[in-house]
Amino acid sequence: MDIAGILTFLVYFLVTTGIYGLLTMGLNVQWGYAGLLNIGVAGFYAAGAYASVYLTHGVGFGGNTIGLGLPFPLALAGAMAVAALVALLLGGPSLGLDKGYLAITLLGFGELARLVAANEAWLTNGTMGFSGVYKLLGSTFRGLSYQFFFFLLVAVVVLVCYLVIYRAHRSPWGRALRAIREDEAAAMMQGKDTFRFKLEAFVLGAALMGGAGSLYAHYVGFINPSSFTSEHTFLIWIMLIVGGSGNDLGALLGTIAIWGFYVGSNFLLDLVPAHLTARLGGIRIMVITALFIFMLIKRPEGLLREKKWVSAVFKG
Amino acid sequence: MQYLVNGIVVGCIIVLGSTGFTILYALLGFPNLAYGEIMLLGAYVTLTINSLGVPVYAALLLAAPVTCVAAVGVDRLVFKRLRQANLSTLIMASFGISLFLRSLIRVVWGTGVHLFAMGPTPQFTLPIGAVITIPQVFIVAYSVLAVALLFLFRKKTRLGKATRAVADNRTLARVAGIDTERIVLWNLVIAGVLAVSGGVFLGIDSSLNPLQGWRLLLPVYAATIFGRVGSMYGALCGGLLLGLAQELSAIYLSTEYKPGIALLAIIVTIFIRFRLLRKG
Repeated sequence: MDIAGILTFLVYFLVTTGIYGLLTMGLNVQWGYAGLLNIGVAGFYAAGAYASVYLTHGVGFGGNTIGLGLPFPLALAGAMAVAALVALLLGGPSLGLDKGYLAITLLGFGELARLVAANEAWLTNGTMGFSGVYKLLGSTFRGLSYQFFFFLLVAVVVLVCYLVIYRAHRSPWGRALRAIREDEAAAMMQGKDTFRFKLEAFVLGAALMGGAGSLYAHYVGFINPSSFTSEHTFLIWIMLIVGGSGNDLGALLGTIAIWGFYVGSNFLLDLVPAHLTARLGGIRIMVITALFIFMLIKRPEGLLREKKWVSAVFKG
Repeated sequence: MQYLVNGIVVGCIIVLGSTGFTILYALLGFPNLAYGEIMLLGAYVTLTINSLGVPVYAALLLAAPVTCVAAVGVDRLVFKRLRQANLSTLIMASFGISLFLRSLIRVVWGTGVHLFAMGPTPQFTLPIGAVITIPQVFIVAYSVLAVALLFLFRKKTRLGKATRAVADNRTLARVAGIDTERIVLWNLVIAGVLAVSGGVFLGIDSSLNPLQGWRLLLPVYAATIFGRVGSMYGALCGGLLLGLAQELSAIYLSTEYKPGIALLAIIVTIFIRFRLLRKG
């Protein structure tokens, strides 16, 4: 590989890490802060990606019947809003319930989202998905410079989101969430509207996931239902658990570690004969899941443990 | 009418899954998301034995111990170390195992679609005008027998009573001198047998591919919470109703949406249950 190739690859890695980092941070808000078991991450990710396509493209793109043709920043915000709205609709009825019910609702949602995307051709172009999705300033920047440009864009979005949730985590709002996570009944006794707090965390996390979906769609330029399977959900989970749930930096670290392994093993895939590639892909997932279960048993707090934190005034 | 017959057959497959699922859910206190994959693993082991020239029903008998060993092995390796962990950790661990087993199936058997070698399947027309095949008759008969035996086991034997006691209150059962780990072991074996049967019947009724375990989990889970978790009657009625609903929905909806029916059932159940609870 020549220098330009290596650079392109490196920037590609950083951009995708940033997108996965957003997803992991979103899950950290839901699970790390609030203890909400979301096993439908891919559904919110997909909602953001598809919403962004409808928002930036006009009617008729890829055969879809809705389209608004808005500029990208509005589409990014819109994708976050759509994912947040979906979270509101799903979280409203299910967040007050036992964890097992929340899990199955979101599990079902993730699958249903994929089914709708695969089958409602008038809306989503079916399993073909959308290709040639609008690339932001794609005429100004080409090739490597586009990669660099998108990297900067993702870096800014990740940084802004990181600062927002970092502050949120250290605010009284974040403190209340941790109290709910540790002992909901006790938090309720303190007069906290625990349902409302949980719903807010759920919606905020989903918004980040929707944003990641939007960035993904416009970076890769191609989305279809197989980009949003339960394996993606699981990958986000393992990034968070390995990195350290409840720790925002840990979420990013876990993303880099797992995504690095995942992408790095692609080089290994290139070395083996083609008929073995699919099998090696399966082995890769097995290694990652085994690591995940090992972490759950041996080190559930992850690489970076959650910092004990009460407030800026009272040092815990 | 044809939909009705198909629905009952699919319902029986779901019932075999949901009864095993609900036993473990009640006993261990968490929904095991890997259960669909355990069903599928059993079916694939049967497939391999079947491909060596053993008839599929005999292969099922041979695959049953393998599936039970897998179910017990997963429990020993992972869940036993997490008995004291909270619900979310257990659900996530089972999610991980589900993906692990699915990948294992992909690695060993490939991603393609597989069919059992069964030879010609005779079929006949029922008086109500629907066609049913001999294997489908066998599936229904087997399920009825399995569920009947399960009911007897839970009501009449010491082990069955102890199982219900542990599911009800593990600490109290232990105080009463019940060896809870032994109970768990036996129930894993029972659930393993139910799982392999359900998985193989799914393969007989349609076909096998690595994604089917995950797809099967949704109706199995839905049937379980349709009743109360741990309730055999609930799993039985829920499974049959879901099977019927899934097949009947094909009249109006694209067949791709069958899993969506399970989701709808879950949402309706949760909604009704908790509205009623709040009032009552």
